[in-house]
Amino acid sequence: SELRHQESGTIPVVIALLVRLSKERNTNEDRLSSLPDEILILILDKLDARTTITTTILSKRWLNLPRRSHTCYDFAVDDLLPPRYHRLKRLWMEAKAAYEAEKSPYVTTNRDAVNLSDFYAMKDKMDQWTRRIRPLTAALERYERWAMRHYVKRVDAFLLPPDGVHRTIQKLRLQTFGRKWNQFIQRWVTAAIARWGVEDFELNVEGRCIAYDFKILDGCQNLQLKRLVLFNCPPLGSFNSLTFQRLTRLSLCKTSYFGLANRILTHCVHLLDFSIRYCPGYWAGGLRINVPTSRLKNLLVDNCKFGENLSAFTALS
Amino acid sequence: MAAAAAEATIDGGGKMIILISADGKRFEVTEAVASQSQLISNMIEDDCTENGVRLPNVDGDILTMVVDYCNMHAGDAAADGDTTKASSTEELKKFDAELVQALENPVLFKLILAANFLNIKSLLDMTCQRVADMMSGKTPEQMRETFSIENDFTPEEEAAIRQENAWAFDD
Repeated sequence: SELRHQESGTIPVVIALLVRLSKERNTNEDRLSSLPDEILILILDKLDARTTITTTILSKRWLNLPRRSHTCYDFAVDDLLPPRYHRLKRLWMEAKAAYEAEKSPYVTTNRDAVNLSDFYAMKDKMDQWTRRIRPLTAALERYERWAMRHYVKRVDAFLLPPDGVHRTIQKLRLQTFGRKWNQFIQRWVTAAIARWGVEDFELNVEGRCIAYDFKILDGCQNLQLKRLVLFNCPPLGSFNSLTFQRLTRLSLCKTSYFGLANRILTHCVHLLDFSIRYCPGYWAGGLRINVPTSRLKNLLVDNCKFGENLSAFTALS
Repeated sequence: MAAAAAEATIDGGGKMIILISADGKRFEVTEAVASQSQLISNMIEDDCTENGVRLPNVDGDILTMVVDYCNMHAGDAAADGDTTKASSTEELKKFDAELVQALENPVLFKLILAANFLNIKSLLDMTCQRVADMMSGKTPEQMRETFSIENDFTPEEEAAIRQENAWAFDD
């Protein structure tokens, strides 16, 4: 009888069958392009915006496929860095942590009674660590420079195309290194918010912080920004800018927050959600908020130094 | 045959349906297993599965895989089904991962077409995801090579498209 009753758990059978079938494959036939439109669209919808765009060039079949219009874009410099970079970075962080751990007793306890031989012993140890860490740092920086050159080219082409190019960008995330790339970051922020009217913007700067003055956007017509996330980018003196007055959600991470919660809440009159994360700064009084006019609904303090002994909340009306 | 059907009725706890592939292979499955296919589920509702369901677009080899997949996943569709048939979540994940990893040209595309025809959403989703995974991280040239796609643009046409979206083509 040909009747086959299938039992569950027949993985080896299926795999064996697959291997046999794969051997019979005809490699010269374009089976992908001959799938019906609706299936190709299903596949395209699972790709990120950039890959979806690149498929337009495969063939005429692909150029004419209607595709979901992407409005969310994520440009991560991490995507450009090789796995080796992340392995080196881990080693670097471990070495740095060990160095800090070894240094801290000297720094905190022996400051007043310095014994000269102790001092030289310590200096010797620290020099050893420096010799270990320095080449790692140099290698990391080489990778970062290489990745950033590509990143700048890509983001410039996306955010600063010639006049007449139309894009809809509702949500944008930039993840980039800081330091000497600051001038690029400044013009990206301006283009994203002023030219493209991004509603949701996240700027994640690694490393040294940069400041952006949101007041320069005050004269712009096309401001749509509602939700803003900033890592290592302190919006110096910007809280009374029009951009901030319109925000409903604000997240200040790492060195982007430098205190002044009351000032922020006083100026950001539409703010409903406010979060402070990974803030390294410390204020003796913790966090005290007293802004009767605020419409704030949610306040999140996460992984912050000053939050360790969070003391008082008042008047969240 | 009758004995097999009777036995299956006891452990599957439901009516049995016979699926017939394009090349005439017959598969006996429970209604619960088969109705993961929206197409067959509709046929069961309309009571037209008496003499077996003929699937002229699906080869026996592909149907073997589909039936296997449905057997493994019968548990998530019918939560009230008996526990012997319902596979544990971990087993399922392992099964899906192995199945999807082993899929290649041209079986992958036959399975996609079968999943689409039989209207089995989870299988269609999984197989399309596999194609997406095979595409992502590749340049258009690499994609053309992987899937044997013939470039029918003139160099001028291609350059014009690249220019328009230069940010996506910078590698």
